[in-house]
Amino acid sequence: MLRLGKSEELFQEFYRGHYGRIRRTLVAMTGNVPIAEELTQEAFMKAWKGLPHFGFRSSLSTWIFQVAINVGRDWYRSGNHKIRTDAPEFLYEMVSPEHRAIQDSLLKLDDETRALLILHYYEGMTIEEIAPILEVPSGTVKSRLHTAKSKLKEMLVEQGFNV
Amino acid sequence: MSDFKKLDFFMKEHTPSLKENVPQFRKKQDSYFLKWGLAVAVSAAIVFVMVPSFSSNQEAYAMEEALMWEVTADDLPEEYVDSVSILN
Repeated sequence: MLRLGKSEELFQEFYRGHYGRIRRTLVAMTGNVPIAEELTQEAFMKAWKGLPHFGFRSSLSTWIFQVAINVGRDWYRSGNHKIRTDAPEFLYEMVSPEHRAIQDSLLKLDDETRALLILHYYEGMTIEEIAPILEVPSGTVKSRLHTAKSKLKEMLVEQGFNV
Repeated sequence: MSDFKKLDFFMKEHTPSLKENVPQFRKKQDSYFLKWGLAVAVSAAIVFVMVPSFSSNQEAYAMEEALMWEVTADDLPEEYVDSVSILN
């Protein structure tokens, strides 16, 4: 039987504790459940491999979000997101028209803005919590969040929602 | 940010946010502990009640058995003598 070392045990615990949040963030980023699950695995793999170089300059939680956001951005920039339009409806994990409208709007935004809104709305993070993940000062997060909310509001209004 | 009150409310209503999930998780955990706590308490109560009653039953059986062998017609009140004499 494989015997896990202390760091492997700790990372396993960390994985169990954060899997749901990272998966949700990546579902919101990609709009596709199977892809998000694949990317979640990739994010944890990258985090595990990068653990010796981590250095604890931030919390592990902040770090895994950084890795996941980057994995999501890389996936989006690679052009693979185009497969989304071919995916069947049940893969979107969206139960209401409102949620679908939110998801569609998020996917139309640039990846920086999308990541910011996901961390703010889906993960309920504060400006101070988002800043180290996106590696920008709190003031920048605040002003970007204002702009991001304006864009999202405009898109939802266009789709007939009173927000 | 006050311009976004309606948007914030809309997003809170229609996204699976963490803030909504945390109390659910805590609630599940609480019920988990409550269930196990209750099971342990019930088991402890059963042991507490059963063990003394078991031992007192044992004592009663022992006394009954001793009496069965030692009792004679002379030890009993008159009204029981007839039935005891049949046994003897």
